[in-house]
Amino acid sequence: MTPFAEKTLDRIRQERLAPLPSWLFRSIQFGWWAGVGSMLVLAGVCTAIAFHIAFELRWNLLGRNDLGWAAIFFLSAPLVWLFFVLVFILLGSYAFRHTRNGYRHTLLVIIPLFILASLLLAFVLEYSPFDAIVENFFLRAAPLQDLPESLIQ
Amino acid sequence: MPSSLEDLTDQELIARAKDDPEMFGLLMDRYAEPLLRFIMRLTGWGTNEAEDILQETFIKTYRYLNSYDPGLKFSSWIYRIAYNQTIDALRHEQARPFMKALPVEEVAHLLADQTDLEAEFLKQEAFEKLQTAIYALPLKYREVLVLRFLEEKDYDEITDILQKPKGTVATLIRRGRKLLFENIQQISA
Repeated sequence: MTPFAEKTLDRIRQERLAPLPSWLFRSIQFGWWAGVGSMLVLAGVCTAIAFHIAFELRWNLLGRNDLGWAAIFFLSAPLVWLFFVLVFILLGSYAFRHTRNGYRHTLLVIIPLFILASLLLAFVLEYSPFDAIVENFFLRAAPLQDLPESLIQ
Repeated sequence: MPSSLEDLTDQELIARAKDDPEMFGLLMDRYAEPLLRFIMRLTGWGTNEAEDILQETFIKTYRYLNSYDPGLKFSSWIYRIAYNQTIDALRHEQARPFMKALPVEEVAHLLADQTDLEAEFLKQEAFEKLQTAIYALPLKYREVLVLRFLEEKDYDEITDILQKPKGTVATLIRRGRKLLFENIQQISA
């Protein structure tokens, strides 16, 4: 063994260094993947809300003659939710780049895939029973007059 | 069955080193020289400073043995650790004059395929200016040129060492060579 290797081994022995446990590294990787998954879910939910506002609320607003075009645009355009979608996609892409093999892919590939996955998730959420559950919750909780039961699915 | 410890593969040594640090010593013997050269090429620093970085590299490698992914070449993994330690050292240390860490034949290798320039710059009086041109390159270009042309790593290995996509590595190499030749032509003018 070379003197350099002996010197380094001496330091390892003196400082009582040992390899860190495997579970620590597995936990770190799990954390990054959990980050990817949670950001994807959040992006999907925000995309679903954005579509809901854009396509369903708009119809309710178009009949309102007291509102100008600007008011209709800002009330129906899901700008805030799209901003959150962008934030979650960027955070999810960052987390993906830190997974074991994530560095091999460019953002030009990761971000479009994230957008596609968010759209798919949004589609599933929009047409799943989950959509009705959330809508009914807000209908019941909203401070409005008594609503006819026919409006609640 | 390996006839001696020298015949053990890197993976076999790693498995044994987790329980026996002496086995890790054999890994260090195997990689000390190439890693020291790599650190010196990247930083332009002398042997003493490079050995400090090298020791930190091996300490970190030992501590992170259980994080090694067998799907990755061990040489790429340990080069990655050396690279990260070198970058940390470069960031923390104040700018210091570079030593003559690149011998003439290595500079020539860096200029391969540019034979007219190669003949010109093998002259000793131009050599120091050439060293300046190389170490004046931004680090992101210098590191890929060192890995590709001096360490003779392929694109997959460089991707794994620097943790950058292959396309990015290819672009950096192309731009780095172009910038280096522009610097050299300015110097020779």
